[in-house]
Amino acid sequence: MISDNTISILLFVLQGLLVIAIAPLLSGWLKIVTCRCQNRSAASLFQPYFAFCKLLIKTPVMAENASWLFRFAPYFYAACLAVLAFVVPFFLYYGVLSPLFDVIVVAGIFALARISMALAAMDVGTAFGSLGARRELFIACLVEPVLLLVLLNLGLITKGLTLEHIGFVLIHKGILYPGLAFSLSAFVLVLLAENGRFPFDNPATHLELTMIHEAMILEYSGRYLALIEWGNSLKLTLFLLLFVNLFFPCGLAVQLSWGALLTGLITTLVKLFVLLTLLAIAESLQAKVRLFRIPEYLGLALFLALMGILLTQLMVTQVTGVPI
Amino acid sequence: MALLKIVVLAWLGLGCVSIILPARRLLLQSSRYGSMLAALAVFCLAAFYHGSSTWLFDTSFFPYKLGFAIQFDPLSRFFVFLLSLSVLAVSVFGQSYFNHFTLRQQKLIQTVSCFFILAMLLVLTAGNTFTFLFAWELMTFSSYLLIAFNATDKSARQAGFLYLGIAHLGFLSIVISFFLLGNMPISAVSANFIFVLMFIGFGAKAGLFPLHVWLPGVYPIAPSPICALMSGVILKTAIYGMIRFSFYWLLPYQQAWWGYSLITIGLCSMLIGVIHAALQTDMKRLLAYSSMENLGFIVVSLGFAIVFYQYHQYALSDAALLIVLLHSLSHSLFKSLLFLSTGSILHATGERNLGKLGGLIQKMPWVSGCALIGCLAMAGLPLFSGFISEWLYLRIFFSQGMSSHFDFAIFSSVIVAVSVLVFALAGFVIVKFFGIAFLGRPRESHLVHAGPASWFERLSLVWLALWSVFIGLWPMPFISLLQKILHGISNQFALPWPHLFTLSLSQSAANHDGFVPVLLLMSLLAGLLLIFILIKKYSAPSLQRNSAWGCGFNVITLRMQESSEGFSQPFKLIFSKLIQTRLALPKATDVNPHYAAQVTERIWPLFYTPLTQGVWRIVALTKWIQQGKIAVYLTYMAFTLFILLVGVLWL
Repeated sequence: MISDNTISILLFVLQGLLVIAIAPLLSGWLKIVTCRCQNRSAASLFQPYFAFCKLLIKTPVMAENASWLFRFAPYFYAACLAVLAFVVPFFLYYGVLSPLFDVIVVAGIFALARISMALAAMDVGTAFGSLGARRELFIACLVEPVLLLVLLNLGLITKGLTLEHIGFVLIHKGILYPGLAFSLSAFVLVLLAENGRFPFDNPATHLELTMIHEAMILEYSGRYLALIEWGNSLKLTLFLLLFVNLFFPCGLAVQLSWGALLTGLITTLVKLFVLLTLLAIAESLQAKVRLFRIPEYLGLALFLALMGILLTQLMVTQVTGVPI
Repeated sequence: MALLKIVVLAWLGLGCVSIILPARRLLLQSSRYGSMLAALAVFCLAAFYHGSSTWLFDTSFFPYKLGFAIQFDPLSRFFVFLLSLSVLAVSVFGQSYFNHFTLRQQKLIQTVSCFFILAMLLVLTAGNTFTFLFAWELMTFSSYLLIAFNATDKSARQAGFLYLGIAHLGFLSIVISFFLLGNMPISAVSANFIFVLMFIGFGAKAGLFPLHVWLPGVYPIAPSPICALMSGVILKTAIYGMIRFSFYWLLPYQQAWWGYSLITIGLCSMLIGVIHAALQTDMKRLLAYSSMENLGFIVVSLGFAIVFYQYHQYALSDAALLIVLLHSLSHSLFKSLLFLSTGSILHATGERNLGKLGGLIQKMPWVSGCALIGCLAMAGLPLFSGFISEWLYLRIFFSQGMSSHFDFAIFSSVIVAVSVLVFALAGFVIVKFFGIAFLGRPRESHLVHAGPASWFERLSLVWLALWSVFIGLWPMPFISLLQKILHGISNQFALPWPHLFTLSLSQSAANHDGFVPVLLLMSLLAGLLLIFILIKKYSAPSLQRNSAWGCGFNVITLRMQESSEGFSQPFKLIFSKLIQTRLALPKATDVNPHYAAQVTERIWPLFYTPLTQGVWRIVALTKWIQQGKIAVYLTYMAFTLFILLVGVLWL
């Protein structure tokens, strides 16, 4: 365990700030690899930052009937995700707030962020906004249980529900759990669906037949859009971090030495960039599915997550040696 | 005790006075002020009176054992507290709400609702069987009157009649179970009988699957404040009854399968309730189905409490019962809040159909703010009251030391998967409800004239919203109160709650394994503040208002927004196996083509229609007995007399 003193707290805060800061970088990298895969020339790695600055200095245009909810929602969305940035592990094996907010609360904050955006999308009252909100919630309603079940399965395996505890046990008792394999495959589907990637959504399109997330934020501009874009890349980063650091926790810093911290930072960054590259290749190789085929994928994910929990329960009952 | 007497007599007196007084505006108004004061008295009683005692009111004109008795123990006190919060809100809301009814109707509403509240109060504080059953029946009848007084069309009257029928089916089961409980030595077998009958009886009142069919029909026709009381309190009296039976009177005979049956029925109610809530277009029907979902959740928790108690996991059983009580409280708060806000919407617009509303956040800022809080609490999002029970619920599943019970370990994972699916769908339901009714632009032209709600309405909504937020942020005072009640049930229930702000199920105070709602609020606020300051500093200061993007067209009409049917279209497709959809498609030759889809429950064709057909078939077979001729009936009488005489001689 890491001792409580000023330097460690500073390091933890730095970790959270770093997660927030590098989020657009990861989106930029994803775009670069996608462009290369599709034989196009790519924009700079720092393009998302430039876009953010551009949006920030532009005067936002807002619909006449937009209410306070529409103006407030982007701030709330960004704040929810920013709080989560201090919960997930990055180079240290847990975030500063993770002992306080267990996985149920983490899933709850994700839901809060999502619902605030969905409500804001319906506020102006155009066809696109509510269409996007409907589709987003349609997917989210099937994704949220899977996310919670995967996290609960991790909790069941490690007998503790905070990310701190889960990370600690997974690092120190690096045993392979069969239930985790199912959870991992379910989490891949969650990651793709929750962040609007292929095959669920095409993040680059503005075609009304297919767009989901982009339809929700169509009415936003200026600083509001900048916040939402940053939030989106932060959300992707959070899910990627959860994925790599929960299922492949090797290399994370468990004590405060410069060597361990550096190793943790480098391994996590390498894992992230490898995962993003794989994501980009996978996206380039497959087509987006029809909207009404999505429940089949997500039903599969739900089933996999349930199987994971069942298997864990089975293992627990077997291991304790109680007769069935 | 004196205070309880005064409160009961005050409601009785108010009811009687309202019958006698003529229907004048001034008198009605003063009667309403009276009921507001009486509601305040109930609140004071529940909040400040600590004793527990019994008050016997012997009546000489009733036979032995049929006197009224009132008792006020901690469990009663908690439920009276729950009642008082809703009643106070409703009585404040009712000050200005009923003015659009005729004076005669207002008098009827005022009189009957006094008796209605008296009946609920008596049910919750009943000290003997007679009082309980009397009050239960009074509650059913007065609520039926309040629902059906204004039902002019056939379907509304049918819905009221269905309610009365199912309520009496339940009443019959409750009477039999009380009879078995009081007049027979209880054995394991008779305890099972009592449990099943009790469960049917209270399940009918709580609107549990499959006896929930009255629920969606009744709410749309009843006035909104009455809906708030029905959903907020009547359903909870059923929960009160279930707790009394299974944890007070039948505790030594309790069996694990009771818990399993409660869990199964509760899960079915949750799932059916939330799916149908997602598909409704009438806002009150939507809330009715959502009540069914929440009651299912409460019953599942009660089932968990029984199962854990039987498996000697007393700490978990304690926590499960805690969820039952806490969620009863928070559900009664946010559901009353939402029903009252539908009342305000109805008042301002006259529309009950979600698809004809829209844009009310501009017209009714107070109502929409409070309704938003109610919605977020209903969806079980962090910072609001619904999340506390969800958190405890998932925690219980997680921290079970149930590895010795293999079947339970497997069953519980399925339960949790279904429950989290239901929680997620509840989020969709609230976005549909709030997004379509309050956000967007008005879908009908007459909504432009909708005005803000009156001050009384706002006051009562704010009162309920504040309680919802309070429970969501700082549930510990309520939890320690409830823990005292639970400790009174059994000495085994001694789960320590050592922290002031932290929710935690772990035994030791040192373990950082809890959830601090206040800290979540503070970190969110800090994040908001920082982001706001940074954005303010570095961004363009101004804001330009323009019309919304018209998708390339010159105008976007109001009808281009999502309708409430359209919004739930995806779920209609996914859950098509669980629902019954009737489509009316236009023909190619229609001049004015119209598409209509009606969603009903599968349970009608699968269960109720065959049942009624079976009854009709039996009736058709036995019909020939009724010949309609006096000679035949005289023959019957002679025949009966003959049989009786033979019987007498024989014995």
